[in-house]
Amino acid sequence: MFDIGQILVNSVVTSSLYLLAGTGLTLTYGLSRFPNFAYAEFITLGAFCGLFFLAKPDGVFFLALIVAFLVAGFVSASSYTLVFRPLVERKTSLIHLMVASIALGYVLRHSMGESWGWSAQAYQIMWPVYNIGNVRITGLWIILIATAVLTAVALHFFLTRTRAGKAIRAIASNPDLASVTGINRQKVVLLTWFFGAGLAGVAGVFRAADTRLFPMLGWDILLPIFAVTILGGIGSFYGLIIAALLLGLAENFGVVLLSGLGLSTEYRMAIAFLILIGVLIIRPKGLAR
Amino acid sequence: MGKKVLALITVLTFFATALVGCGQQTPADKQEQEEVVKIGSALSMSGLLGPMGVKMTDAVKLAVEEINAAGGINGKQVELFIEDDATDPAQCLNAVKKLVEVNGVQLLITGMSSGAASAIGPYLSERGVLAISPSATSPALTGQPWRDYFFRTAPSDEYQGKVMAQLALDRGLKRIVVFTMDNVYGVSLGQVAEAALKEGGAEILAFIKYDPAKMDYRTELTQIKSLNPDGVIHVGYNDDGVVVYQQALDLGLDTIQWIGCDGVYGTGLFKTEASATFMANAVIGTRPGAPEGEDAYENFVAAFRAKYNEDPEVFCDTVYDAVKLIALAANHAGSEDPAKVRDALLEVGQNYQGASGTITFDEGGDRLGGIYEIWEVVKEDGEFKFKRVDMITLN
Repeated sequence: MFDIGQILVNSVVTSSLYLLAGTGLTLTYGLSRFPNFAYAEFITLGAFCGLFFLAKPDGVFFLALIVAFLVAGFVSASSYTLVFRPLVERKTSLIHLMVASIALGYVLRHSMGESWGWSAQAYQIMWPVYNIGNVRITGLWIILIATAVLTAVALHFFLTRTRAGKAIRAIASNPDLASVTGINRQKVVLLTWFFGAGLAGVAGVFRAADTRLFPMLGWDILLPIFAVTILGGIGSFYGLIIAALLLGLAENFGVVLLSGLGLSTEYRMAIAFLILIGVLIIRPKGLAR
Repeated sequence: MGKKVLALITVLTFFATALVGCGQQTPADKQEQEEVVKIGSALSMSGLLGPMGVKMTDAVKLAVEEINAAGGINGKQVELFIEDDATDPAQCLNAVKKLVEVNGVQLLITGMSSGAASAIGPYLSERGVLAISPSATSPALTGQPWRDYFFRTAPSDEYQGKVMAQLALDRGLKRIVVFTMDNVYGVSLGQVAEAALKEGGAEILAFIKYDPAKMDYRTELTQIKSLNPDGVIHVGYNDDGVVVYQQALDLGLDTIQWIGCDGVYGTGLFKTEASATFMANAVIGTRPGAPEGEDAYENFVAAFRAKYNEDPEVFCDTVYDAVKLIALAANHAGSEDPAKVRDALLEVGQNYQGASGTITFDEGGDRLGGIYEIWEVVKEDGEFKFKRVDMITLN
């Protein structure tokens, strides 16, 4: 009694968003070893950058993506340099770093709230819709899925074939040994913070285009994004891909199940988290570790 | 380290108790000393109901201004305190507590949503402060034990749900999905409509409740699509409504008839072209109507336009009436004591000719009867507009 094709497409759309948004979180965790809660705000910031281009129906979507990438990346790299690096250098504990990231998140979120207002806004682009059999798919979803797939492929080659990519993996697996081999650790970390948050900014533009735009946008999806990174094995990019797909499917099929049972679809996240708990009991370090 | 933390906690606790302490002692004495009557407004000026609440607060300001121009309450000027509950019931309770305990307000306009009303009701009753809600419409609020200090100038959705159901039945819709936001307002309005539809012989394929804050309803909508209904009864607000409608357009759900309600009425729904287009294609709806043509309403609209240079929207008239009724009742009682104002409210609130029509409260503080407008969305000269289809008066 339900439309499997459409739900699969929906799941892939959800997964693509989680993948884009989760990449930066998992890579920066791999290098810096603390969960950055301010990460939610890079997503929101990207979405608001998009508003400059997409407040009118004739906006250029591609331009919005690029600017969101650059601005979110820049703010992330600056926040690392100004806030987190000094703390890391003083050998601050994990708790302190986490609290600092929550605090930074608040500052960023409320600054955005003051600048752009707390009420919801929207991009004005109308997307073309395509029918493939019973399944409908919009232009936006096609771009989103394509972006996520291209990013995944590009990252795979980046991490395995380039010097900088290998450096990231080296630092993630053994920071001290990596330093000995002459890798410029600071540079690699900064680059990762920039690039990861840039992708988060891009995810923000997609999320805002698909739904609405408001200062809580990033925070509202931070929990599932954390779930995806943890499920994948935090720090692991390949685990992230699998986890994003799993959670996307769980959420979307969960809705069908819930409304079949007459429950509110608010519980969809609960289903996703049940899966998370189940996987962690069997594989405590996530799927990929 | 440990000692420092302990010291900090001690200091903080001290301040917290001190603050709460002063709040509790003062309000009653304060109000008598000062030569003003304090009225508090705690509506949703941000969050999901923000677009509606901002305009409603404007109507509150207008009413207060007019009351002051006409000599105030019992010869004293009215001072208005405004808070924002951010469409959050818990935040509403905080805002009301702040108004009562810090500002010393005892007459309130608040409880914009039914959820907020349920959150503040027991507190109002316990503290003996009076509130009128201009827009909490859930049938679940009727007969609650705390209703002694809580009135509402919007009719219960007991009426609106029936109008929505009738609308569906009149159009020959037989297989229907009820799609509501999961809060007091959404679920109870949905249930009234569901019961009335079943009674009218329609089949309910599913009753889907969604999280209004999730802002992504694609899967719920996909399920509606696969159920292949003739019609959808939808209860939502402006902000989630935009997402529901733009995603429904993506999925091609504009080929079935959607029946909306007061929550999805308002220019907030036209924020995106996609949402507006979907509404023009597929949505008709109901909302508490205004008695257009009657003097009280037309005077209110003219005054609102003159002050704000725009038209009042849904519940602006009921909130305006709520403020005016408080003033009228306090004048009638010759006192601003909430218990006396409440008793007076039951007396003056009988066939009161307000901007929103004739208001008569029953013993439980609910408004009897209602006027409902049936609306549709049209595109005229490239602009989307709500347009009236019909008016229905229920008694």
